[in-house]
Amino acid sequence: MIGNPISLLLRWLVGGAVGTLLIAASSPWFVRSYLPLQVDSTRNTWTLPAGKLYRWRSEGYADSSIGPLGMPGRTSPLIQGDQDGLERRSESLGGSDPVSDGKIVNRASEARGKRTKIALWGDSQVEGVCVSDHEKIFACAERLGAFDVFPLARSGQDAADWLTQMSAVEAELQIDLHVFFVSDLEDLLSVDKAPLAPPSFDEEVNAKSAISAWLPAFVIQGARYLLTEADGATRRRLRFTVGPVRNDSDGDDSDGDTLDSKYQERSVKGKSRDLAQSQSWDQTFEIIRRATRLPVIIFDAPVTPQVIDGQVRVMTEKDPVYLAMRDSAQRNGLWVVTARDSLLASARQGHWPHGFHNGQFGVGHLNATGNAVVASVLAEAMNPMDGLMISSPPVQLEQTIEALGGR
Amino acid sequence: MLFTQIEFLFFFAIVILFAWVSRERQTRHAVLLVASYYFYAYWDYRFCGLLLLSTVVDFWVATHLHRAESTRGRRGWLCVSLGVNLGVLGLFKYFNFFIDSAAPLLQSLGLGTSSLSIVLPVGISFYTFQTLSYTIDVYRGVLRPVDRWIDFALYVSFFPQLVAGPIVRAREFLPQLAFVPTWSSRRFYAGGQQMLRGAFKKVILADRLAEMVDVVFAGPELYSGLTILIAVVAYAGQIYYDFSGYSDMAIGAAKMLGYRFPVNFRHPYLATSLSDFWRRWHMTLSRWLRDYLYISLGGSRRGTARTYLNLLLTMLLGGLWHGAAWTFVLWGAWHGIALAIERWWQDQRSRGLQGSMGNGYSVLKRLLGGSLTLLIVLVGWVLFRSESISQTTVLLKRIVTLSDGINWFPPLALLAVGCLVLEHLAWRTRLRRAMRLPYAAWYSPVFTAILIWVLLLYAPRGFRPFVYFQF
Repeated sequence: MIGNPISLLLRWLVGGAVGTLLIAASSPWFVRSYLPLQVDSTRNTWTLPAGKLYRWRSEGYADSSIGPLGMPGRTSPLIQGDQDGLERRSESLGGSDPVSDGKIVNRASEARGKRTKIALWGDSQVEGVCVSDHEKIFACAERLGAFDVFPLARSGQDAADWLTQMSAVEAELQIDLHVFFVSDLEDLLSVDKAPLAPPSFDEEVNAKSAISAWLPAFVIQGARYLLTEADGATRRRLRFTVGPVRNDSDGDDSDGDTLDSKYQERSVKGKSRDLAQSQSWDQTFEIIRRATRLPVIIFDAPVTPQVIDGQVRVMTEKDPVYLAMRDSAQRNGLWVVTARDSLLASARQGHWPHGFHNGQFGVGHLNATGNAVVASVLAEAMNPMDGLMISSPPVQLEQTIEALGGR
Repeated sequence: MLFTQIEFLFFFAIVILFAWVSRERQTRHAVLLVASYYFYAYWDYRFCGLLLLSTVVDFWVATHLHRAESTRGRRGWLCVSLGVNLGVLGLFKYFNFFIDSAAPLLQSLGLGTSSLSIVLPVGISFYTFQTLSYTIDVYRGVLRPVDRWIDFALYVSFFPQLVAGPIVRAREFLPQLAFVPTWSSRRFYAGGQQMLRGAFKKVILADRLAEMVDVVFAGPELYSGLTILIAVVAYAGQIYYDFSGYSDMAIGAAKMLGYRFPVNFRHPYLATSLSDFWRRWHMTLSRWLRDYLYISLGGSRRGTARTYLNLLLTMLLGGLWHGAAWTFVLWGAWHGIALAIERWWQDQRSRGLQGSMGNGYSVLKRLLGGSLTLLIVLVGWVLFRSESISQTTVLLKRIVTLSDGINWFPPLALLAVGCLVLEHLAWRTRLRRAMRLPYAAWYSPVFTAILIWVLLLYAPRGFRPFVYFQF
């Protein structure tokens, strides 16, 4: 029958431990990292910890080196496209290590002379942890023009966060220009909440950070699977009552008007209907204009084309919400650049800008192609801007994709 | 409640505890009956009435059928059982399908049509077939009706097989209820391992494959022919791992409670002919269709032409059993026609070159047969998974013409397809036993720990019910 229960128990304990060790050893290839967030003293917001490596293993598959100010992928203020020369120049100024105490020493940028310094704000689309560092938007853009791009985007942040951090970053990095990368125009409307209160002691966040500092990532992921719902944040609640259970989460407001047999324009519905009126935008841009004396570009790059339920939905430059936003921004002295047509053109050529093989194309975050596309649009837009100019020739989209390795 | 829900672990632990501490047979059966009704009510308590109705009617009919002395009387009682069971099934599963299908004809005759807002009770197709097997076996005299209602009620509602099989026949299960099973730690361990294996098949393999399949089948016009072809193969893997995973969990759960269920899958994609495929795929349904439908229709006893017709009718109704849609009917017809052709071919061969060829011919024949069978099965799965016949046409056309579109190759889905191939190949080797992680093997604890960790770490988030629940 069972045999000696002690030896049986011992066999299972040892075997279980060996199995767990094998999982622990192989998990970095498959399990994302859980880094404890920290409050950056300059930006005064939660960021990924500088000097660490952040693994992303779900949609996309990449490692990001976290630089100063929690910038993913940018570990130094050097220009990616001319790294060797700049390093030499930096060394000649007596500074081989551009990062000190988690802050940027500006010797290298002094050496760069007239290079325009751009603060790139946004959410997870720009943060780009699902692509490698050299494929991130800032890196692609720097390869295309004579400017430095500082990736200050953070997952989940919106215009209120950006406005709150702007002045400190301007001083620290000697910024010349702000770019608000917006994948959802509604992210701009939160500006009236700025400045946000500095991060306070949050018991839950601190507890999580403390745990993630010492627990292996695979244990955290396993615990998250057991203890949270599908969103990974809501605590799992078990149900033992009999059914039926009413499901309140029905309805998808994403149906739209047909443009042709394959592509459809996303309709303006619900809240978006109000956004097509210019009044709500005027107030938003007035607040942004008052927040800084530096130029601000609203960089519009929605998730388009998007695949929803097997249908391709597109957002073109004829979208009334976009038009209302653009007109209002221009009245208030802000630049607006949109990547809509470039993103659609890329998809029409078979290079889908959003989504990954281990996710789904037409859904989710920008992939390497998408980053190259928006970076080229940004670089092109920099040319005609008076006073901030760089003088590289216009970049053709296809050439850019090809040059960057395409998808 | 689903086997893959965390709630099930708590539920099952309590049931196991109470079942094994109950020394009295009736107490044990009462515990399992209450647990089974709770298991069903967890989805929707209102349909417990249907389950009860089916149980009461068939218990009562079988008792009277057994007592009836005349053939006419026995037939009458059988008709009552068939009428009630198939009537309930027809109303809940097929009413709207037939009304919608007949709508053009009815409208041309000036008659209005209206559909009913009906929810399909989970598992109705399965427990209806189980109760019918009981009355038909009693009618045929191969089974005596049970004396205790509670035993019969437990047979119908026993939670491991209630909602998606295996379709356990009364004569397989009722004799097991005649005594309290004896505890066996090895059997308990084997059941647990089988449940774990089933969970891995369902959550890691089937659900990962489903992520690709759902997207491609939702918009086939967007994807390249190659991607669609991979998605079709992925669906073959998904439906196999989903259903065989469920069956493993059901068989394992029953085993842990001391009962034995019949095997439901035997590596079907190794089949060398279509009839071989149906002896390996959803074996309990195949047996049921053979014994209670094909043989009732006359089987192969009424001449060649009638045999082909019976095969076609059996598969056609088998297709309809899977779902109330023309794609399922066509899927059944596709298999029925292919089986009839295969039968015809075998008849021709048996009159011709039988046995005159060597071993080389036999290997080649198996290879060719296996490839052709796989092709027929894959085309069938396209029909089975499509939402309409026009979608089937689009999918097949894009595969054949190798159309342009998004080239999407999800690595995890490809890995799961690789597992499907390796698992089928390994079944023919000595690895077959090792993969069951035997009780005494040194590596069993190591791989058990790995399996549990893999389930925790790599299961897709969210909830995906078993494919066969919709049937």
